[in-house]
Formats: sequence, C-alpha cells, structure tokens
Amino acid sequence: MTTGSQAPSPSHSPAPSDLPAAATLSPHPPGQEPSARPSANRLQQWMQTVGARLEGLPRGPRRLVQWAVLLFATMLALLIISVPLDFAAQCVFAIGCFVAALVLRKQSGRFPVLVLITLSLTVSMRYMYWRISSTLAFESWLDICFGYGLLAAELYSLLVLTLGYLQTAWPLRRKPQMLTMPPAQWPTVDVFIPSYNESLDIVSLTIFAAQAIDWPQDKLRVHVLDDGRREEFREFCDNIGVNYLVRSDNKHAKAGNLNEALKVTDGEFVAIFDADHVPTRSFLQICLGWFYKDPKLAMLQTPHFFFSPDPFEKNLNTFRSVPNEGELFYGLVQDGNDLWNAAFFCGSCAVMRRTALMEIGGIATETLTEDAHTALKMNRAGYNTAYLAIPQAAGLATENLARHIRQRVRWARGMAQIFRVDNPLKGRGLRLGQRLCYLNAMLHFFYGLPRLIFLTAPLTYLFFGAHIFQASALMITAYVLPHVLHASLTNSRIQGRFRHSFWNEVYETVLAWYILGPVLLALVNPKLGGFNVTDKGGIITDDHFDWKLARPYMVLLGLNVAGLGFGIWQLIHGDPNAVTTILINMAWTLYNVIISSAAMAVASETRQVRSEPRVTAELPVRIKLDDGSIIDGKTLDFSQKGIGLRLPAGVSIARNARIEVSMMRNAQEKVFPAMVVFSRNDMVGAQFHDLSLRQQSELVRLTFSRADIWDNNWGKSRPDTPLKALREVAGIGMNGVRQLFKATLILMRSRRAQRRAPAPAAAPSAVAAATVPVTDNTLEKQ
Amino acid sequence: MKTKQSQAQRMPLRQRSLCLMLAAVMTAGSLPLPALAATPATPAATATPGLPAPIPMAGDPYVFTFKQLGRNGSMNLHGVDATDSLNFDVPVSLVATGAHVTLYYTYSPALLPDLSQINVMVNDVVAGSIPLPKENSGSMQTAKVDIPAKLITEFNRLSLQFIGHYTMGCEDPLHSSLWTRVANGSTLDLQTTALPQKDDLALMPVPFFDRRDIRMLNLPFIFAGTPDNGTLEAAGSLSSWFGALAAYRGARFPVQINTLPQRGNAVLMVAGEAATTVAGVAVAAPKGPTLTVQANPNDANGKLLIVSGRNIAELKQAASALTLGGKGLAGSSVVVDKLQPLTPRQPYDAPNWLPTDRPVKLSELIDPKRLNVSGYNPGEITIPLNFPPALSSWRQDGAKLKLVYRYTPQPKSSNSSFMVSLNDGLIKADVLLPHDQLDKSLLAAIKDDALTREMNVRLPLNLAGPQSRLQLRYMYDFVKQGECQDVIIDNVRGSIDPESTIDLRGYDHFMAMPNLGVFKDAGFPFTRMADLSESAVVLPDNATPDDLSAYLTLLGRFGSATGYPATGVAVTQAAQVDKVASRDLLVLASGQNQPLLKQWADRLPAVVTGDKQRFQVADLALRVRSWLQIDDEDQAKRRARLALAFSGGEPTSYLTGFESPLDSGRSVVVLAGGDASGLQQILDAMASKDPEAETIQGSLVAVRGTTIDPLLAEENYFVGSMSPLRMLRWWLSRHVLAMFVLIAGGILMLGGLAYLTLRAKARKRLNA
Repeated sequence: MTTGSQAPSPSHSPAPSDLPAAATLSPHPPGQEPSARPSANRLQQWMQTVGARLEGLPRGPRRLVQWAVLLFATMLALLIISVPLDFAAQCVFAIGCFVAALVLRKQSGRFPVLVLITLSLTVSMRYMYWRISSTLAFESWLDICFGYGLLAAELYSLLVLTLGYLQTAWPLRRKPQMLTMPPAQWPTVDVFIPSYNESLDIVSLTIFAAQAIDWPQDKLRVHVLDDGRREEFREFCDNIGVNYLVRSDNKHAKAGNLNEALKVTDGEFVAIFDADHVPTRSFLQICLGWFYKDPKLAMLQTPHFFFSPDPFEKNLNTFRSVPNEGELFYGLVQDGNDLWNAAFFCGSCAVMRRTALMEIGGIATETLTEDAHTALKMNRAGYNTAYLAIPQAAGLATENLARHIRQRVRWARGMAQIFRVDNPLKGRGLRLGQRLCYLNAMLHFFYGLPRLIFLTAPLTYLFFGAHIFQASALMITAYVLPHVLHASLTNSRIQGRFRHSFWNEVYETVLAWYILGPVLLALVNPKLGGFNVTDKGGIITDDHFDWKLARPYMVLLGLNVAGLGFGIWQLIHGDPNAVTTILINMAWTLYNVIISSAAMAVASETRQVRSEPRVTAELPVRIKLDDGSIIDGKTLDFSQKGIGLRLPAGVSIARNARIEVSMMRNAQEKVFPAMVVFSRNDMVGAQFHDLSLRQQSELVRLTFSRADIWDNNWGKSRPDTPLKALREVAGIGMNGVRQLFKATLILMRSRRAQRRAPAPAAAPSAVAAATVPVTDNTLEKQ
Repeated sequence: MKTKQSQAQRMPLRQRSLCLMLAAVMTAGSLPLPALAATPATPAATATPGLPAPIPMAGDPYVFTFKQLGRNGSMNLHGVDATDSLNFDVPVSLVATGAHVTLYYTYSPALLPDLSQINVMVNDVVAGSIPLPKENSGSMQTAKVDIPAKLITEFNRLSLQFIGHYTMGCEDPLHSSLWTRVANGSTLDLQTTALPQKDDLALMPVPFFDRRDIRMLNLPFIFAGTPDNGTLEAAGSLSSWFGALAAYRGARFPVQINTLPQRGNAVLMVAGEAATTVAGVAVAAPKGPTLTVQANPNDANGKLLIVSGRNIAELKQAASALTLGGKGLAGSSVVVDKLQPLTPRQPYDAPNWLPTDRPVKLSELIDPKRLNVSGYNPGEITIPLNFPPALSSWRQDGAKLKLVYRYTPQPKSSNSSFMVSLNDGLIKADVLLPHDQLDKSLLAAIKDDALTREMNVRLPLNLAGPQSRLQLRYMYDFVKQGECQDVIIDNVRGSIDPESTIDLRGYDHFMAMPNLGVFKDAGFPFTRMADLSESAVVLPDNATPDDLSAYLTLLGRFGSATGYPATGVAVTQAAQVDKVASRDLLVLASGQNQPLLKQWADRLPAVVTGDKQRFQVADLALRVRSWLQIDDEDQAKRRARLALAFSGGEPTSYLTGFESPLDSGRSVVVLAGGDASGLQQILDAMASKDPEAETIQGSLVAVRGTTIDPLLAEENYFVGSMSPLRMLRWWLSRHVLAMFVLIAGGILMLGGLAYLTLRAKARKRLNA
C-alpha cells in the first residue's frame, strides 16, 4: 500500500454540508407508478381493503383462508387451462380476455399488474395445454423434427416468461438508508479500481471520482489494481496519492486481481468500480446505510449507468429515446430479484462486506461471470444481497457491436458455466425464490436456439410444407395469438419504461447466432466454448457496414424474404385450401423480416469519436473573460476535457478566446482555464487548458461526481406504446435494408475501383494501429 | 396360387361363421316326401319379406343364389391356379338327398382349352370339372354340375378352382389374360328330406332356432286368451332370447290367440293352476315352472314349446330357466325346481358390447383360427366391433388398438403392406418389410422372432356406428423373377396375434338425446341395462295380436343388440304409467289406441284428430339447429321432406323420442303406427338394410310404406354420465360465459393472493 502523500491531494475532510448529498436524490427510482388517480385504481383500492380485512384476522384462520383460496383458485385455473373450446368459442373467449387485459393495463397500482400476470399465465398455459394435447400427432420425420423443435423452443419461452414474471412481479424499490452514527464511527472502505488495458485518460477520471467520494479521508482507501502493470499508472497514482497494486501473474483475470487486493487490504467494506465506471461522491453514504440496517447484508449493487451510447443506441440513433439493453436489467430485473433476496453482483458499482466476502473465499474464480457467482455463493452462505436502483456511478458503454457481442457471449458462457458447475436448483442454502431467480438469470442466456427457431419456423411450412402443427391454421391462431398478445401486453405494462415492446426481439436476434454455440458448448462442458469475434478496435473512424458480423442477419433476412416470395407464389399456384395456412405463416414471416432487418441495421456502424463522450447537464457557471468581464451562464454538457456552455441571450464569445470557467462548491469558487473552440450565437464550446491534477480532480468533483448527475437521466425514456414500438422497429428495419443496399453499392464500386487501380496505398489510420489487441483475458465491463 | 376369398368373413356378427343353410327350419319331421311336397306355401313365407326366396320344404328342390349365400359381387378367379369358396350348411332337421350347382361364367379367350378348366369342389372333393373350350370363350356360359349327396354334410364348403394356362412355353403365372368370372347369380340346388327330431329339451334351441339357417326366424307365440302383462313380460324375455340367437338374420314373432300355426314351430305360454286346453293342445296342470316340447298337432315336423307355470312368477321362472340355464335341461318336459338367482346387471354390460373397463382381446371377438390367412391377396379379416351405444367421443382420440402380427417376409420388394380399416375406411397401413431390409434392422439383431411386429392405432369412434367392422388385410406384392423363372409357392402367410387388444378404457357413456339412430341400431336407451330392467313398454289399450307381435319383435331386436334376454322388462298400459315413471318408456300405438299420445301431445309432432293424424312439424322445424352450418341445399331438402310429410293419402307412421315427462334424464320413444299395420311398417323400416333408403335417425322419423323420412334432429337432453371433472369441462366447453366468470374469479383470487404474499415479503425485506 503506497500512498503518495506528496501529491496535491484534494481535501477529503467531509464537510458537513456534503454529507446529506443523498437527500437531494429522488427517494425512489422512476418507473414508479404515477401517483394513483383515484378513479383509475378502484381495483387496487378494493384489493387493499380486502388485504386489510384479511390481515385483521388472526394468523391461523388467515392461513386457512389463504390456503383455501389458493387451492380453489388453482383448481379454477387448471379447469380453465384444460377446457377445450371450438374455434368460435375460443375466439370469443380470447377476445374477452384480451379486452379485460387492455382494461387492466390502464389501472394503476401493483394489484392490477399481478392480475394481468395471472391472466397472461393462464392464457399461455391454456395455449400450451392445447398445444401439447392437440397438435402433436406428427406423421413424417420432417414434421417430427421441426414440430418438436418448435415445441421445445416454445416451452423454453414459456418457462422464461413465467420465471420473468416471478422476477419482475414486485420490484422492491429499496430506498437509501442514511448512516445514523457520527462520521467518526463510519467504517473504513477499500475502493478497488481494477484495470487491465484501459487508457489512463479514462481510468484517471474514475480515480479522481473515487477520491472525491464524500467519506472521512482516513477511512476511504482507493486502490488501483493494475493487471497491465503500466509505469504511467504507477506515476499517476503516486502523484495523486492513491494506492497502486500489482501482482505477479494475471491468473483468474479480474477475479484474481480483486482477490489479490483483498489479501493486502483490510477495510471493513469493499467498493468495486470498473476502470471506466465513475462513481458519484454520494456513493458510499447512499449505499452503506443498508449494511447497518441489515447485518446479514453482504453485497449491495447499484445500477450500471452509461453516459455514452451503446452500439444499438449509436447505430440506430436511439440514445436516450428508447431504453437500452441494460435498462431492463438494472431498472427492473435486479429490483425484482431484490424482493427474493437474489439481487446479484454485477462486477462494478457495488459494495461488499469484507467478512462475508472472505467467508466464501473471496471473489469466485470458477467461472467467467465471477460476479454473479460470487453473489450466488453469498446467498448460499446465508447472506443477503441487495439492490439499490439509484445510479451512483456511470460508465462508458461498449463502443462497437463486435465488442458488445463479445461481452454478451462471455456473460452467456459464464452463466452457462455456473448452470453447470454450481446449479442454483441444486445444492444447499438457497430459498426457492432465489433458486428460480438465479435459474432465470442463467436460462435467459439460452435464448439463441429458440430465437433462431422462431425466426425460421414458418419457413419450414413455406419451403418444405412441413406441418409443424397438427391443427388447422385458424385454430392455431385462435390459441397462439392470445398467448403472444397477453405476454406482450403484460410485459409492456411491467417493463414499459425499461424496455419497449419488440426491442427484446431485436436485442436477442442480434446476439442469437453468436451466443448459440458458446452457450451450448459451455453446457456440454463448462470448459468449452471459447469464442472470438474479430475486433477492429475501440474507435470507429468511419461509417461502415460490418459485413462479417451482419452475415447471420443477412442470411436470416434473405431466408425470410424468400419465404415471403414463396408464400406469394403458393398463394397463386398452390392448393387453394391452404390459403389461410399460407397467409398465417406469411404474417409470421413478415414479422420475422422486420425483426431480422432491424437486427441488420445494428451492423451498420456509425462513426464515433469515442475519446470524449459528453454528458448533458445544466449546471450554473460563471465565465470570466480575458477582459475581466463576467458572464453567468449554464452548462450544456461537459466532458473530461471540455465543456459546452449556454450564455445569456445576446451574449457571445469569440472563438479561440481564453476564458476561465468557474463553478461553485460549498461557497468556494473553483476556477478552470479553458479556450473557446466553438461558438455559435449563445452556444460556446470550450476546451480546458493545462489543468493541474488538483484542478482535474476538482473538475471531476464538480461534474461527473455530482450526486444527482445520473439520476436525472435514469429511466427517463418515454413509456412503451406497443404499436408505436412496432412502427419504430419496422422503420429501423427499413433503414437497415437501405443501409445494406448502400453498403453493397459502395462495396461494388470500391471493388471496381480496386480492379482499375490495383494497389492504392492504404494508409492505416494511426488510431487503429495503436489500438491494443484485445485478448480473452480482458477486463471488460460487467 | 390360391385365392381363398371367403366372403362369409364379411358377416357382421361373430356367431355367424357358419350360417348358411339350405333347408327350412319350419319344416322338420318324418312325414313322407310326397305329403310334404303337396303342402301349400307356409304362412311363414309371407312373413319374411326380407328374403325373396320362398321357404323351401324338405324334399322340395330349392335354390339359393351365390348372392344369398353371402357373395355380393361376382367371383373373380385370376392366375394359373385360383380358388374361391362359399359356405353352406344343412340344418339338423334335414338331410341332403342330392344337389347340383348351376354356374354362370365367362372366361378369357386366351386360355388353352386343353389345359384350362374350372373344378367344382364340395368340401375339397371335386364334384365336377368344367372344360373351357375356345369357341365359347368371352361370352356368358351356363354349366350344371351335379353334386353327389354323400359329399354334403352339416357344414359344407363349395369351392370353385380355376386352372388356367395361356401358353405351353414360359408362362407368367399372374398373366392378366388368365381370368374367369363366375356371376353371383349362379345357383346351388339342394334336394333334402326331413330327419325326425326327438322331443328333447336338451337340443334347445333346436328346432325352434337353428344357427345353420340363413333366413329370418319366424316363431309364433300362442296365448290362451288376451295375455296379461306378466305373461307378456315372460314372452318378451323369450322373444329377446330368440332374437339374440337369430341376430344375424332377424326374427319375427307373430302372436296368435288360441290358434296354432298350420305348419312349423310355435311357443305356447300359459299360466294357471289347472290343466287347460289351448288351441286344441292339452296342457297338464303345472307342478311348478314347466317347459315342455311336443309335436305340433297340425304339423308332425313342427314342434311346440309349452312354457307354463301356476302363476306369472313361475311362468317367468320357466322362461328364465330356458334362456339363462338352458344347458341343464333334458327330456321332453321339465319342471324347474331351482334357479340360480340372477345377478343384477350393470349399465352397458350387455354381452354383445365391447366392455369399457378392460382391454379386449381379439380372440374374444372372433374365432382365433380366422386370424390366420394365406396367399398373396388373402382378403380381409373382418372382426365385428359392437361398440356400446352412447360412447362419448368428446376429447377422445379413438379406441386404442394394439395389433401384434406376423407375416412371411418376402426376399425383396417392399410393396407388400398390412392395412387396418374401420368400416371400409383406411386407418393405417404398414409396409411389410422384405427380408433384406429386415435383416439390417436393429430389431432383428435384438429380437429372435423378427417377424412379430406391433402396430398401435387409434380407431376414431366418432364415425363408427354401434355395429362396426374392423378390417385387417395383408396384401403381398408378387415380384416377377423374369421369364420362365416365376414359380408361385404357396408359402405366404399372415397371422394376427389373438392376444392383440382393443381398449376402450377412458370412454364415457354419455350421449345427446333423443337419437333414434341408436334406438334402431342398438335399442338404446332401453338396452342400457341388458335385461331391460330399467325399461317399460307401454302397450296400447286393448292391444291387438299385431301390437303384441310388434312388442315381441322389438324385444327380439333388443335381444339381438345385447345378446341377453330381457328378463327385467315391465309391460304396462297408459293408465298405470305412473308406476313405471322412473323407467325409460317405449310407447307403442297403432291408430288411436294409445291414450298417452293425447296426454303428451305437446311433446309429439303429431296429434290424432278424428281418424287421421296431423303433423305439426312446421314450428319444430324452425327449432332445428340451423346455425349448425346447414347450407341451403340441406334446407331445401328439409322443406321437401316436410312437404312430403304433410301430403299423401295413406296414414303416416312415425317414431319419435323425447325426454320423459315423468322423470328427467329418462327417455320416451314412441312408435306410433298410423293404422293397424303401421307398427309393422315401422319394424320393417327398422330392419331394412337397403343402402339406398334413408335411415332412421334424429329425433323424429316418419314412415310411410317403405319410405323413411328423418324429419328432425333435435338434441335436448343427455343420457349417461361422465366423471364429474369431465362433465364440468364438457359443460364449460359449451358455455363461454361461464368460462369468463371462472377465469375472472380465478385470476382475481390468484392475483390477490400473490399481491398479499409479495407485499408481506417486500415489507419483511425492507424492514430487515
């Protein structure tokens, strides 16, 4: 532990006014029900009345009533599930149920959601009962293979749907707990920042922010765990006075790195941040309270928030308008897991109790997803885990699709490994709810094959005439549509703010092909399934179409379009009795065309200068010009190196002017010299100029490290409207097709050009050449 | 090659394997031949409209066509050596004194006359050989072949063997020019003489019923005066027993009061302590339930069965002794002193019906010998399946048929197949793998007897009537080896394991009523209890002998459906109908003699006004379930039928069924004859096997002469039961509104429970 004390270290004594930083935060995350309108939630009120009356009963009779109701209602449900109806009656029944669901969806409160879930499950089970009891009389081997394949995929989806409902039925919406004792009695915390190959630019931001956390200075120990063993890092750490730790080998990658650090530190709590996850200064105060309220709490996770767009957001231009892939997990799933005491560690932005961590032998090293596995072990050991849905750190999203895919493949492999080596269904120490939540976390990653089956199932009929359903097409529609529609509607109600309808299909389709092999291999043998996607490097210098990555989607799209064509041909020339069947299969195929073309659109990479992602924020600033005049303005956005400013109307600053930007902290003015690099009307872009380490630290403290900076952007996407989402996805799909044509044209043109001029000196861009080759050992964000 | 296509196998019921008969059952005795020959046509002959041939007398030269012997089409003989056979039987009361066969046949012009021939064989002995000369080829020929009387026994097989050759050189044994056809109008003539019969009860049911007969049974019942209800019940149990025995050929029981038939057999029933004389026959004072056989005073070859007792109970006991304990009887007269008490029947347990509580082996349904066949195209093995009526096929995939079969694998070729059909509709066909493919299969390596194969089939019962036929057929592909190398070896066999089973478990007895179709086919719902112990017959007031005959004949039909005598039937009149209110009611009427028709007029389609019936079907017709995808054509037809029902001069008889006004869930079937002969018309309509005619079905059928008009098909109540859960599901499947109520209740309750549970859990978590 080396603490460079000679460095200009920012003051760490927690000013009293700093402490209640958390109080400025909204008490609970968005995604919350809008405050209940009295007219809309009669159902909810009725339930609360019933609940109150029931809770008025003594325990014995209450139990009895509950069991009796459960038994009776289950029998009713089983009856409903198993009663066969003819076509007309089934249609009437389905429409009635769907109308009921539409009405329920508009009701506020948690009870209508639960009713909606029950309804959806009943309808789906009814479909599955019918599916298994009435549609499986296959005659040819072709039908048997495709038919049972589809059935297996459907069973998987139904299982995941059910477990998903269980997970998300009741997000706990934990609120932060304040520490009640005086700061002198606060525990010591080790902040670990593991790094392997991230550039110092990025890591320094994290380190500054970690240092800036409001905590008694003697009790906050920041450690940079550098597996890259870079001299540059050592110097930087020495200069600003944080610990720099290295180890002799890189065994077990990040998990090993953390475990080595655990050996040489002794703080009561451990906070872990990935090298590119910037914590806010309120982080520890917000998180640690729960460890004192619940002495068995071993780990508390906060969301991973990204201030740069992920490849989907970037390539589809949906940053901040459509919830990104991670939002469902951190907005809803983890919060739902928390109810079951099954929130799990996600590798970063979490606090752990050292005693608990040591008891289970440190961070788990058996699998690629050491984080989830660690939490599983803690839960097995009888400890609690918790999730606090307040973004208290922010990071950079994966910068391109290839990396994104690789990261997901690694998670998927890791989860499959846990499924094999430490299956949550088996073993001691877990409660049923925990087992099921963990199970779903793992099962979720097996979506590859089922997704591909759904994307190709109607083709088996259109191409080969396989009858994968032994029932009339209309009958199938009458049963399957309610199943699909109820599931969509219910999920839209539950997840609306965290994932829009149909986006799940897009996200899964993009990954399905890549995730399929590694996961299956890992299932067969946890050691198998290594996988590589070629990576062109972190910075995308040019718009381009990633032909190689897009190949699976192009094949899928091609097959489905061909299927559509085949369907039309059959409509004209085929058996006139099969028209309904063909039309229904074509409708399904059309949907698949939309989804796969949307997936293809993702492969069209947009140019991005990644080095300086900017964060939008409106903060008061004072600008001092060279001539001494002072302008009070507001920030538009900021980054580590620059700042965007909005000046009062009519005021402007010339380009290349030297200015001093000052921001206030606790009545103290902090001044940062900068140069204007952009100016238009009242908008000004300035680049900071020669900031000292102390200034850099102050800057981070005033910007990235602000307690409420991320919370304002958290879960603020517009709520889901399924039809609009469908239109959106379809539009993206159309765009994807357009991109494909464009890319084809460019490719052909460049080929022609190449043929004419055989050897154009292809100057490799310096940036691309400088990119560190990424190996499988990388410390990627979790 | 042998083509043994025994058409007798097509017969629908199992007892009928050897059912052909060439002598009259009515004529048995030892009168000298000329006396018999002089006897005029019997009354029985007029009472058997089903068969055109007159009842032959012993000694008469008489004729049966091959069609009457069971061959529906002509005999096709194809190949170098082909054989086809017919069975004919001679009743015990007759001996054959001579016979000849008249063949109408055509043969191929390509045949070599020196080598080709048709052999007529009786019991595998050649009775005559017909040469096939070139000059007559290609046109219909007639040949008469005498059959020596000594070749004819009780059970006989008449075979025609065709031996054909078309060239002296290399020959294709299955060449298409090797053919002969024998028309089914070819006849068999038999001369017989009567064989005196002893008066011995041990022979029962002979001579009153002989299973070697092929014609409708006609057995008069004689009563001393107008019989009372108890006597009729006893007579009903007897007639149903005879009906059961004669199921394959139908039965009719004319009633005569105090007169004996001029010829043939009869049953005489009398109850009373004292000795009486009935129709000139002295009946001794019974000492208990008594059964006596004696000669018919009018006809020495006829016999009388006298059933007597001191009272009705004893009369019934005597009848039961005959029908249920018949084996122990001997001598010309027997007093029954003790009778095993009858065990009560269970619903649907009629001996003829397939049980639904256990798998049934095929050997229980057919003579196991008939499950073996030989030849390249050995014809169908037909197994009669008498499904119990009212099987509910709701949500059932079909009856499980597990077939184990063996076959001779051929060296090559895989065109051979084994086919399973139900009522001529193909259910499943298996390829009979040849040797070269069999040897490679894994099965052969594991199993020693690789020839045993198993097939699991579901027989769809929604299309199967109460009397169905399971048809199993082997068809072997004959692979030609090449010129001069084809040798047909008769080594091709097929065999069904008698242990193969058909399983109806899981089927419930539950049926929408009224359904006159099952009434006609199986006497349902009356036959639900095989002994009719939950049925009552409401006779017309002052029933005529024709009405009584209709009653006995109907019970005969019920007996033929169940295979069990109607020992529990109740007979009553309209005035006492309340006493049998809890039973299913069979109401008979002819003309205006049934008061119940007036009483229940609101449920009936026709009212009797004056001496004519007036139909009121117009309003009912509107209630026909027209929403059930009845297209315009059907409606037009229906209207035409209605018009037919209203027009016409002759009185219309009708059958109708409805739920009993006296007890819910019980049925009433009304057979209302428009006039005195109306009931007879209805019975004829029920017995009709004319495939062209309309069949009796639905809830209302009008019968006029031989015209049958199904007018309505209303189903408004249900008979039988399902397990409560199944019943509930069935009911729900017809009531979507109830489904809504249930699902609303279910999800609110489950959602509420989930809400309370999760809320409690969340509170616990947050207050940890």
